[in-house]
Amino acid sequence: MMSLEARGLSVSYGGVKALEDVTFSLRHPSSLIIVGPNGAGKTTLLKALLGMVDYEGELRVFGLEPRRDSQKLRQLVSYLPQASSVNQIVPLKVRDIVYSPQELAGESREAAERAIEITDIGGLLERRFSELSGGEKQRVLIARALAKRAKMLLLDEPFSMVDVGGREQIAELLLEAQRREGITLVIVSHDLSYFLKREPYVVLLNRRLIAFGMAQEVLTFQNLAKTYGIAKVGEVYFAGEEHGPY
Amino acid sequence: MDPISALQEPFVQRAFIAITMASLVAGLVSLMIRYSQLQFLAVESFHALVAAAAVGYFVELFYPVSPELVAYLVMVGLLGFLNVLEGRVERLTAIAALSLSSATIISLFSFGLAQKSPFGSTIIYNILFGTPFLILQREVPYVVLAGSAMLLVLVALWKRILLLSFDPDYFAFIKGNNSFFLHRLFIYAMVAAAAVYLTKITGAVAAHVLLIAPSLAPFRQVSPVTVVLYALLVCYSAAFASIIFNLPYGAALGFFALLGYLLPAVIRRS
Repeated sequence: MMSLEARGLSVSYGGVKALEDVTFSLRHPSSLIIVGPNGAGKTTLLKALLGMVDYEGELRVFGLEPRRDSQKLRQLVSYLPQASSVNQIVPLKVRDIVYSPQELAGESREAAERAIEITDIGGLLERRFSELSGGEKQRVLIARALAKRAKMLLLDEPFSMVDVGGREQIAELLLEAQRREGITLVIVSHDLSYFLKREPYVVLLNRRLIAFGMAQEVLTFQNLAKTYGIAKVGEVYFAGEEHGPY
Repeated sequence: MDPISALQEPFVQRAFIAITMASLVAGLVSLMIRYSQLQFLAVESFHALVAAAAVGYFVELFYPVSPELVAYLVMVGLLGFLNVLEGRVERLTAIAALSLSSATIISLFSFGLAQKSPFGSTIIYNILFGTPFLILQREVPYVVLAGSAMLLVLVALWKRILLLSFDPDYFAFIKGNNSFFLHRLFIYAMVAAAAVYLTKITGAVAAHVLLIAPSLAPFRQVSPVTVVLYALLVCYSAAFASIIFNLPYGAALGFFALLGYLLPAVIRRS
């Protein structure tokens, strides 16, 4: 079963192309990491998959057309926006946040309880979100995403509030959630290394699709150079044995 | 005037009823503005609410309609225009467009008021610098009803307002773009309603202070209770100062609002 199919996908904001002629497809369940420099269209691609922006070309998520079938689609996917979209002056408790899919979309209480168990945040429920550490905050937001029953989880920079030590924990948590729930993970991240052992698919993006395929095939020097420009390639981890981590 | 004997006066009693309701509404709405990060809207709302009030009182010269209702509809229209613009152009451009449109409307309709009514200048003065001591007996039930209705709506939807303000992207995802737009419009409509309501009670200048000041006061813990208490304290103090020293209400309100900002800082330092 295909979870994603994009053919000639393009998105423009005010006449400026944010994404141009992107084509790839993905089976369910699997993992996809979207990689690219800032402004490459990674978040735009996620928003197109969610039907939150207008696009040209063909796009199917579990056979649904995101703009037309956005209501049906919201029952199949869940989403973790960038941490920068979170407004921390709002005095919400962790409990309010994790149960918000129940409050806003009528999701079941059991789904929230299961998400709390997977992310191990039971001890944080009565605390204010703003008082938590970066890693705890990200676990809470992942719990909120998991509290919505879905076949696919789209995560935009899940490591952004987390220090290096906590990143492996977050990656393990996501992979464990994928194993237990049988979901497809679509992750925008600059940091691939924590996911490579599960042999994910990778989209290399810089407004246009540079490459798509299994990580080992796609993460070559040439592709990364095309994506980031030569000067930046050394900052990215390589998967292929012939290259080793740079 | 002696404040204790002043409290026996019906016009003072009416003023205290009105400013109690105004404080409750202003406290919650200003907190909603802070959480929704719409301070720019509160700052800009001054032009829009003077424009709306000018249109309301101008229309009343020709048709038997409530000037507050007309003002509210104009205010919703102007803020709705801003909401639509924000989705299409930069926020600063949208604000500038609202500001310029409002300024044009203010100029046209206050000129019209001054031309068409012998009391035009007084009406314009009252729009800007009204006072709760001018609330009439027949207006008290409306002041209480309208304030209570706003408070009920705010309390009923408070959790949803917080969730929308906490993570707008997630809210837009889970409710859909149309519902997100409507929720944003609801917040703008509440700001419009509060602005017109407060202008009726205190005049536009003081209403503007009340929309911004309470939630930005430097408390250690900002909550609906602390913000409403601050608003009540400032409004009551301003009313007593007006009575004792015969000051304009807006000036006294500005002074006590400022004192509420400075005192916590001084206390903390000492």
